[in-house]
Amino acid sequence: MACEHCDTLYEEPTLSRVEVATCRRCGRVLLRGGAPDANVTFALAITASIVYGFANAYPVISVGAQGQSNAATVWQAVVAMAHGYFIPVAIFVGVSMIVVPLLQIVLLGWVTGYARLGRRAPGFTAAMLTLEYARPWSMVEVFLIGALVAIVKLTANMDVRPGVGLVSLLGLTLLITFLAGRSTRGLWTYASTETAPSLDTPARDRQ
Amino acid sequence: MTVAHTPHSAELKQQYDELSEELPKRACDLGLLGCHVCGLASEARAPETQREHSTHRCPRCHSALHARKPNSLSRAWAFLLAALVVYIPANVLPVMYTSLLGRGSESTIVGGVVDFWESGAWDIATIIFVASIAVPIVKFLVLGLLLFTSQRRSTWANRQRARLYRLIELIGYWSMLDVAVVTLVCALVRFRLLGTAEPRLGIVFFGAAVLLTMLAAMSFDPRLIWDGEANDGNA
Repeated sequence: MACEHCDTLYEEPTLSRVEVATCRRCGRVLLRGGAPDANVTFALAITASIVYGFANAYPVISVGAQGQSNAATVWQAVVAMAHGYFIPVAIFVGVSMIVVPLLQIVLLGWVTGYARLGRRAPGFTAAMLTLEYARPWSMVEVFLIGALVAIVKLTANMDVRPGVGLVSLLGLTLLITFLAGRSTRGLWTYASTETAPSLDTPARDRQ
Repeated sequence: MTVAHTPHSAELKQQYDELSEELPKRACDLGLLGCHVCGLASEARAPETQREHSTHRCPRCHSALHARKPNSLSRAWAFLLAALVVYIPANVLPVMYTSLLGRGSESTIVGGVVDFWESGAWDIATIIFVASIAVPIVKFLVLGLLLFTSQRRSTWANRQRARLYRLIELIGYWSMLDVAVVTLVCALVRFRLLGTAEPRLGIVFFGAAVLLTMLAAMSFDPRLIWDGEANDGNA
């Protein structure tokens, strides 16, 4: 394998759970220990899909002022933005906070679901490529902090109540960080063998 | 490669120092191409590595392989300059219009920070200041520095520059914070008489600036940081 940031070559190591391999030239983290366990990742993907459902179905925040009240889910916030000049912003927010996270959850579930059965998922390469390209555009955590800032901003003048969506967003942030941030690179090991990949001994790439 | 236990600090540092004398070869020195999508190094025929647009595909993920990302520097410069241009209206124009009980006001990004600060919410003010003002400025400076030094094939502070690149990759998208806040606030505050909040054009430019700096960072090939070293070594 080659370090993506400086092109230095290494033989891909087998790491134990607590080990981290760092590039000796540039200091970048090359691999984290513990081959991503297909069972764990699959279970987390299922959990994440449920939490994702809650995060998107329930309002993130509801505000009330003198008898009137108003609530917004993530989707409603995006739709409210989608007017005139602001359509590009709405698309950007919609893609990074709704579409990409869903894509990550579904594809990870797909890949690891098949890996559990000891098979290579149909469209494995396409799914992994999509995951790789999608990662920088996943911004659930930004939306979460944005919601917290919005709460503080509005508290001065209105009666603000955090909704189920907000709590779910927190859960989703943690799950996606764990799922997509940590383990996608390691999943490539499932591609190297056509037969059942053993979860504990990732296939090694020759130089 | 240094293998360390997760709390890597003194131990790792020591191993660094011990080993930094003889570093392993780089893929480009051995006629190999490293895939920048999945990390696999594969062989390439020598003439292919010289060309900008290689026809080679990664045997594992089938991505096009390039010795370096094509036109990395010019693309990154273009995105960076475009980002700088839109960053001006992003800060000059208001990002949001709010009216409460008949009193309307427009606020800019900086204005929002000042408002929070003056109302005593120094913590929130700090978060927004870091995400919306400090992060973009740091990104402009760091990317500019990386592009400039890589263009001159500098060997100065290679490891520190590599660390800077990782930093901007990590923090880059947090600037979207203000866009998320404006989106939510405008969706929530829509009471006809009591108050309304509407987005203003500044937020479009601000979102564009963040998008462009992210694209600039992605276009830059960090392997270029190390190419000056190789040149010096061979000369």
